[in-house]
Amino acid sequence: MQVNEGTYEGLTWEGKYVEIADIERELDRLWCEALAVAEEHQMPVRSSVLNLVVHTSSDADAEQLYETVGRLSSRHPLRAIILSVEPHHQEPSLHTTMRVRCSEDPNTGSKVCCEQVLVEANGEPAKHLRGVVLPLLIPDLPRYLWWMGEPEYDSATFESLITAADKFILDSNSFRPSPATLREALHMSKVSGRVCAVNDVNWIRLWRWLEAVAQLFDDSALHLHLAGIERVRVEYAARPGREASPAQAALLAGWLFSRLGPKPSASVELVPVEAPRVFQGGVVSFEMQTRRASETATFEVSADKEGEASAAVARVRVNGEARSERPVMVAPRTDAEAFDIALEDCQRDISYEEALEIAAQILERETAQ
Amino acid sequence: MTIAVENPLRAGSRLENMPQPATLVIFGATGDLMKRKLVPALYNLSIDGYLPPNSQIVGFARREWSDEYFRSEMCEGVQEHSRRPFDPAVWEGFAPRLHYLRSEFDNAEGYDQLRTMLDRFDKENGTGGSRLFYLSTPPSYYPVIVERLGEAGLSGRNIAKESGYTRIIIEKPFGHDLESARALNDHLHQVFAEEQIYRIDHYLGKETVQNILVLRFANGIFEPIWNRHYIDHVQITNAESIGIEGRGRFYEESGALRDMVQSHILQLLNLVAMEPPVAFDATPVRDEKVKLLRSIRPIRGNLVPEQVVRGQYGGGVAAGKDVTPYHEEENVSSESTTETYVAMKLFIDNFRWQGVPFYLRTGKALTKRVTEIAIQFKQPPLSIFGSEASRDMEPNVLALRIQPDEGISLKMQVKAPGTGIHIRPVKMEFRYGGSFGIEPPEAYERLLLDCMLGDSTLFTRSDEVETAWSLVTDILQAWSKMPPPNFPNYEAGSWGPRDADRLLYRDNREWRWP
Repeated sequence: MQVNEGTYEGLTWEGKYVEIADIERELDRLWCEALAVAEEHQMPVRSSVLNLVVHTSSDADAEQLYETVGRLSSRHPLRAIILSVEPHHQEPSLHTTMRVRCSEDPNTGSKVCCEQVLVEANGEPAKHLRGVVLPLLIPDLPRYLWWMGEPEYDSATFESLITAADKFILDSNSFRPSPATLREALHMSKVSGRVCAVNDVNWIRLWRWLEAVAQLFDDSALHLHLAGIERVRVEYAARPGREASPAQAALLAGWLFSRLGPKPSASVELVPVEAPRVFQGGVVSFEMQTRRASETATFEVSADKEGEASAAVARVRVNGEARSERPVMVAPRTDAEAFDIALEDCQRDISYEEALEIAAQILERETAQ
Repeated sequence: MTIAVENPLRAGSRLENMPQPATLVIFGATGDLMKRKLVPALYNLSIDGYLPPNSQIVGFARREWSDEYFRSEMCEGVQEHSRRPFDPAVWEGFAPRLHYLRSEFDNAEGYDQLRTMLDRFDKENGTGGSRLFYLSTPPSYYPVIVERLGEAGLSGRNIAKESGYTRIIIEKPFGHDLESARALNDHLHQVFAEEQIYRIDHYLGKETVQNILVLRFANGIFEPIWNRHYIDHVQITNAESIGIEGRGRFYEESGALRDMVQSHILQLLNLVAMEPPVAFDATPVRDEKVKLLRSIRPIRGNLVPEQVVRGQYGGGVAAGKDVTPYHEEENVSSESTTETYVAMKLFIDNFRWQGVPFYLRTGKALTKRVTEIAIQFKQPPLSIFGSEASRDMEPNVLALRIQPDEGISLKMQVKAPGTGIHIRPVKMEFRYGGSFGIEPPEAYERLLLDCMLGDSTLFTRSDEVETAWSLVTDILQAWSKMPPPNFPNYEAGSWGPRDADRLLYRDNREWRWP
């Protein structure tokens, strides 16, 4: 659906307190305005299938946030509550802006509209966001918490928001995760005795790599090699002079071992390499060496480091001889597509949680070395 | 897919099932379907990353076209019919994968050339021996194409799995009666195994059709009332506002019963009435569908005029356009007895549906284009509100709209505002377009991808085809013994013949106005 945005903006508050009832009333007023200006055959439909709470720091660009969330809402009609917070700011303030954003289907002219509420909180109000956010959530719809950047698991804000969330979304490529940070994400699934699904858009970007590696073993004659893994090497893209997150590479190796059970003797290397066409932190190649009795084998999926980032070659060599070689598709999902998928359901992704557990162990081992 | 179970890396993983590189050979590639549906579907799959790199597409047809001309025609098809805007940069990467092979369909040499071409793609492009043949020709060519593929050693029937797959997609109609459907199946099975054969009914690729099963089996509130105890009757409507629009030659040989009822309408009936399958996989789903078809009480002999109404449109105005009477269309006999409209009453003899009538209707040149399934529930056993208050009370109706404006509505009774009690019906409506901004893939995208992945859940199995034909053939045979109908018997732009209304009046019911 093409998005022809119509924004109905006309409301801001500044001050220490916000009356939630006022926000709802003003949202209704905005809807009436939207209906009043609409052509008869293009009446906007007020629709929501989920609540999305986005947490970001106060230096984030509000317009960019509107845009990002707006793109998501064109596929998942939602009420977005965007929190731009700075708890340590000297001047306490609470500033709310609301927008109704409409996406138009160019074929029918029909408009689907959804609401975005931006809450900018500085100082003391930033520590009490729960009271602002919870009453604004639409009842009976799933609640997603998207934490931009590194999650502050120990903060009061995080604590108050996660307890209301059905799904917690992070992007482990947006910071350099420590093993502890990754493990902590797993604990979120058991917050306050509730089940909260956890998802990482960096994991969704990895799916096509997982599929390419899995395809290496669609030939059942090769399954026995999985019992003799000696070494796994995963390369990931790093720009010169810039530190890249090894999270995606660790998740790939973690997924492999989580499917097969632990292989204590296998060595795992996560290696940053220059690959200008691959996004920073993205997997560039996977190589696995195995030994089973007298047979050795190498399984490899390797992207073209210089050329088209989506193109890769999958190769299998047994006892030094080529067994197969074929092109595979590893083009990562775009950020927008990855977030779309993350918002599709509230289910726990057990394979992700298992991969994450082992990825944390791998990173721990790397840190110790 | 079998490999999903066997491969330890797939077990429990939420992977994006990506098809392996393959060569798609489309027989009859110069036809309308290729340009309007297939090539736009492949183009969109390519944009979404579901058409693996180096997969090749071969158009096999009789016209004297070159690769270049074939590409330019397909480019036009994408520009006109793709759901996404044409992107020259994407096309530049896509076009070189299109190839054209000119041959008569019965010429063995053409198939030798095809084999050479496929072997070359395997070597040069890494298509790994995987082939998908798509028969988009008139059905009369199916037997000879299948035979030649077998003779050229292209059936891939006994090839090891790791050497790639060979599958064949067949467009409907799968025969024109029970006998011909059996003959076609026998012919196919001489060359291909049943699991290699994908009989496509594009209706099953539509999101809203698939959603019928989700609505029934993923919502706890419906299944307990989805039976004879709570449902009064079911109406399935498939209406077109246009006439046959120049397809006289085709339509004279088929008619509405063969063209629509045997395939699309029975598919819809199946999804709304089948028992829950044990899993949403090919075998359990198709087993349940066949079971349901076998439970439909056959309509034979004297029952046909009582339960089936046929019609043919005359002139008129439908959806604001003048419609030429059917018998004045090109390639249509002025005394044609071909039906452009069918309505019927069916019963399903099983525990769930015993005694519940299913009313089906389909036709050309009707009031509007609409496809829907309406489930009408029984009225409460007693109105406690008195006759005046209940004057406007109507039964609950759950309507599943397949096209256009896909969605679901539920009609229920509420108290009209005011001091007294006055009951009025209101409609609670869910529209796909209003709740999901996402544009669903075209049916052919979904079905082509499923076939490349080896998932045949949404394709029709041979026993399903034959059972459906058996039901329809009974009616055709009865018609052949009856005096010629008095056609035309409905005006273009109306809701069909009066006899169709009487079919329901006799049961104290009436057709909906969808």
